[in-house]
Amino acid sequence: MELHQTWKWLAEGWRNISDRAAYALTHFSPSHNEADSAVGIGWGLMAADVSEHGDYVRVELEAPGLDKEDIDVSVDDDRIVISGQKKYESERREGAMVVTERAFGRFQRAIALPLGVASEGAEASYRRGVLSIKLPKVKEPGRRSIEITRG
Amino acid sequence: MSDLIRSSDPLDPFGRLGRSEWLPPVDIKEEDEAYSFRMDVPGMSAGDLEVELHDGVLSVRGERELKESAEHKGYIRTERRHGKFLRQFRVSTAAKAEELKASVKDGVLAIYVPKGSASEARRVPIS
Repeated sequence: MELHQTWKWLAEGWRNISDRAAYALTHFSPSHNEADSAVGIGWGLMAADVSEHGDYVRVELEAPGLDKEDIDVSVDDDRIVISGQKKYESERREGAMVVTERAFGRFQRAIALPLGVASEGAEASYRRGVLSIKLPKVKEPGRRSIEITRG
Repeated sequence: MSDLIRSSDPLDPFGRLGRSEWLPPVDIKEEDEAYSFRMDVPGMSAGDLEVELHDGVLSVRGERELKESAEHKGYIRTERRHGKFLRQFRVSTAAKAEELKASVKDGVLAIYVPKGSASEARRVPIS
């Protein structure tokens, strides 16, 4: 494995995604749902767990090494889209030189949700590199109980 | 593609796939004076990880536990991996454990391994 390969990947985008996806997810077969998509720089699929509870759905997405401010979350009817940018910067002194490294890339992952969810009332937190999002389920519009009358 | 994991990676010749339930991906950079590693371990804190240097081999061990709580029924999708991992990398045999730096922040474990200097040759006086 070339030691410097990853630093070049951060500028190369798409081309390396399938390689990294396989590397990161050797035990997982990606969903073929069209609502799913993933574009990322230097990552695999940004693995996500989705769980359904009483009146909400929780999404937990792995996205290590980010700043909260660089993450955007938005909700369509039946999917959630997480996007943003990844920056890495470090500065170090080596002898008389100061060595600065910077890497940058954009990412986006859309995850299909089997139910309608609302963005209103959604909560998101980022801790230890995991983005955790709680989405209230949408109550079905126009749902009424129908009284059965004797006829 | 699974070859990438079991690879003949010169820095990971042991390829401990058999002992690991998952393998966190790592970026490795070699400079003149040191190796630096950045390993993705989302959801983990310092207490879940162990870094060791012995005889020129850097070992990184960890366990990411699956939370067992009432909240964890009702899964629709599970992609995240859990369990134990061990990854090992060959670094300089002159590297010293006390000079190694490791820290974890936002799910990234950063390890800095100075290569160390080979012991200086001693001059033998000739009489």
